[in-house]
Amino acid sequence: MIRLEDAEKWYNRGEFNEVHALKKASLSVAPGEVVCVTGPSGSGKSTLLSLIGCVFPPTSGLVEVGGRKLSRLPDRFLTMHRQKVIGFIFQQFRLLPGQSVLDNIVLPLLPQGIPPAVQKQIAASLMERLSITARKDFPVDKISGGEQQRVAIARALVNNPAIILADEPTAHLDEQLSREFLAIVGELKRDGKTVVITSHDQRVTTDKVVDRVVEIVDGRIGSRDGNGYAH
Amino acid sequence: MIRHATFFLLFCLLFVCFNAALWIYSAKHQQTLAGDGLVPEIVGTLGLTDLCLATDARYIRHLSVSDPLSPYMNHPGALEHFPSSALYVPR
Amino acid sequence: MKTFFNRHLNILDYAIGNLWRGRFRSVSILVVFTITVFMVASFSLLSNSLRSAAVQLLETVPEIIVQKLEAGRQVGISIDEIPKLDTIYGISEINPRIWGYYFDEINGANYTVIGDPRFGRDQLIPGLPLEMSSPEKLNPAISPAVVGTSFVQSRRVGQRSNFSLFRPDLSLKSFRIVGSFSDRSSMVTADLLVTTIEDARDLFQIQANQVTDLLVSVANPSEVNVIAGKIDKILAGSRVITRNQIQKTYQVAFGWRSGVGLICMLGAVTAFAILAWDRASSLSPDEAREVALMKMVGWQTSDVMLVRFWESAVLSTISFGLGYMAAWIHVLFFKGALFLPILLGWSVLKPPVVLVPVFRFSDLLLIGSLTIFPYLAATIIPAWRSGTVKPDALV
Repeated sequence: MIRLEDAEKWYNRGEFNEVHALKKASLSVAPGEVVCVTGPSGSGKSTLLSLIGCVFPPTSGLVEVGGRKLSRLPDRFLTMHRQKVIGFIFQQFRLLPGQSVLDNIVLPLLPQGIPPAVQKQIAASLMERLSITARKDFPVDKISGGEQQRVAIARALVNNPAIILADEPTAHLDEQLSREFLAIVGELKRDGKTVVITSHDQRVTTDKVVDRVVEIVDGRIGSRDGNGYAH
Repeated sequence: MIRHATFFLLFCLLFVCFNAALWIYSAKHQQTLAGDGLVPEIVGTLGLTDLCLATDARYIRHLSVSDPLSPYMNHPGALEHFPSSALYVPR
Repeated sequence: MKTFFNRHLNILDYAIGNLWRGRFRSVSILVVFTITVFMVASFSLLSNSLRSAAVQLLETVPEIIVQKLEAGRQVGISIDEIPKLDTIYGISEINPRIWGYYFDEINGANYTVIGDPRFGRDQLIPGLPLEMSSPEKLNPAISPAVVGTSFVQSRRVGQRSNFSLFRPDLSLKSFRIVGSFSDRSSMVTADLLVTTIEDARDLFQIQANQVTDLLVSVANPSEVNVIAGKIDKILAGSRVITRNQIQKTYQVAFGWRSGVGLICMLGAVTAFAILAWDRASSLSPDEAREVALMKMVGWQTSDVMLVRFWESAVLSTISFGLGYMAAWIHVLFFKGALFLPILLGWSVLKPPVVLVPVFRFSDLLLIGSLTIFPYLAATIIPAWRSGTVKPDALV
C-alpha cells in the first residue's frame, strides 16, 4: 500500500536555510496494517507523513502510495490522488470554526460535484457510526473535544480512502478519549484500512492495535515491533 | 435541502423582475414626456430648438442661436463656462 | 455535466456561507459597492434620460435655420434676403423670426423671447396649442404675449394679465397675457414669452426689417442637406443649421457634461477598488489555515479560486442589483435630485423636469464595467494568492 525506497526530502535546497529533513528513508506498509511513527519533535515525522500523504513529492528516491509513484507528479495530480486515497486527521483537528458538524464533514465532497442529498447520506452514516448524529447542526466550536475528534475522523473517512493518516491524534486528549480513539482505529483496521499514526504518546505506541512502531531520529528511520523491542 | 445558491438565484430573479417592472413602467411613461403629443406640436409650430432645462445661459437654452463667444457674455459678471457655472451662481 | 453544475453550486453554497459568516465585512463592502453603483448608474441614467428626452421632444425642430455671422458672431439678418431664396426649388415655407433673451434684473432670470410674424395683434398663432387663451382687441400701447409657466411664476403675475419689461433704454414696454402654455409642455415652454415680431423688435430695439434667424421648411426631408448647401452659397456669410445638427449638438452637449461627471465619479470608483483590494488582500492566518486545510482534503487551487470568484460575484450581483434599482428609482421618481444640478448648471428658473430613463443594454454594460470590473480586478490577485497557499502549512 505504501512503499518508500531511499526517499529523501530537502527543504530550500542549496540555500542558506536548507534542511535535510528525511535521509534515505525506506519503509513499507501493507494494506490493513496500523503503523505508528514515533520520534522526538523535529526528527522528520511530519515530513514523512506529508510524503505519504501526497502533500509534496520527494526530492529524490521512490515514494509509492496506493499504487502510484509520487516522484515528479504535478501538484494538481497529487491533490487528486490525495483526495482519492488519503484521509487526514490533524493534530488540532483543524475543523472550520463557525461551520456546523455536517458542513465540516462534507467539506472534501464539495469540489467533487456531489449533490447535497448524497453528501448528507454519506455524512449521516458516518455520524451514526461515530455517534455524533445528535450534534449534526451544532457549530464545531460548541461541541466537546472528543466530539470534535470524531468529526475530524468522519471528515477523514468521507471519501472512503484506503489510507488514514493521523498526526499526533491523542496530543490533546485525556486518557478516556485516547482509548476511544484507539478503539476507532481498531474498527478501521477491521475494515481493512491502512493507518499511519505519528505520535510520541506511550498510550499509542504500546497499544495492541498498533502492528508496528517505526522510530525516526534525525531524519533516519529505524523500526521496532509492537512490543517495543528494536529490531 | 434548500441550497444557499437557490436563495441567491432567487434574489437575481427578483432583481430582474423589479428592474423589468421599472423598465416597463418607464417605457409606458415615455408619452408623458411628450405631453401626449403636445410638445412636438408646439416645437414644430414655434420652431423651438431646445429643451427648457437650464435657463442660465443661452448657449444651453438655445444651442443653435449662439456663437463661440456667448458662454462669456451672457450674464454681467459671470463666466458661464461649464464646471464653474454648475457650482457658482453669479452675484 | 451534472457534476459540473453541482460542483459550481456546491462551491457557490460554500462561498455564500463564507460571506454570511463574515457578515460584518461583507455588509461593509456591500454598502460601499451599492453606493458606488448607485452613483455611477444614477449619473448614466440621468444623462440617458435627458438625451432621450431631447431626441424625442425635438423630433419636430425646424428643418433648416439660417443665421448671419459677422466677424464670427451672430448678427441680425435682413428680411430683404428672403426673396433671394425663392430661386431654390424644394423650399415650402420661410418664416423669419426674432429669438432673443431677456435678462430680468429683478429676479436674475433669463427669459426666452420669440417674435413670430404669424402672431398678430388680434390673432394668435394658428395651430399653436395653448392652455388658456383670451384673444382680445388691445390698445396699441399694450402688446400681446403668450407665456410659459416658469415665466408666470417668476414674475409673480398671478391673476393679473398685464406686465412690463424694460427696453434697452430703460423705458417700459407693457404686455398683456393673451395665452399661456400648458404645464404638460413645460419641458420646452417654461421660460417662453412669445409675442408679435414687431413687439419683439420694439422690446429689443432691433432695426426695422432685421430678424435673428430664418426658419426654412423643406417639402422633402431627403433634400435638406442639398437645400442647406444652396442657401449657404446664395447668402454669403450665413450659417445654415439643419435639424440633424441640432440634435447632434444636443447629444454632444449632454454627452460632454455627463462625461465630466463620470470622470469626477472615477475617483469614487478608484476609492472603492482600493477598499475592495484592502479587504480582499489581507489574508489572515486563519484564512490561510482554512485554505491549507481545504487543499489538504482535496480541493484544487482552482476550486479555492472559484470560491473567491463566487464570493466576488455574489457581492457584485447583489450590490449591482440594489444600486441599479435605487438609481432607476432616484431618476424616475426623484428626478435625479442628487445629480441633476451638475448636468443643468445653475438656473434661476427651475423648469419642471420630467425624467424618464430608457433601458439600453449598453448603459447596463457601461455601469457594470465601471463598477464590477474594478472590483473583480482588485480582488483577483488576492484570490490567486489565497488559492496558492501550500497545504503543508498544516502538518
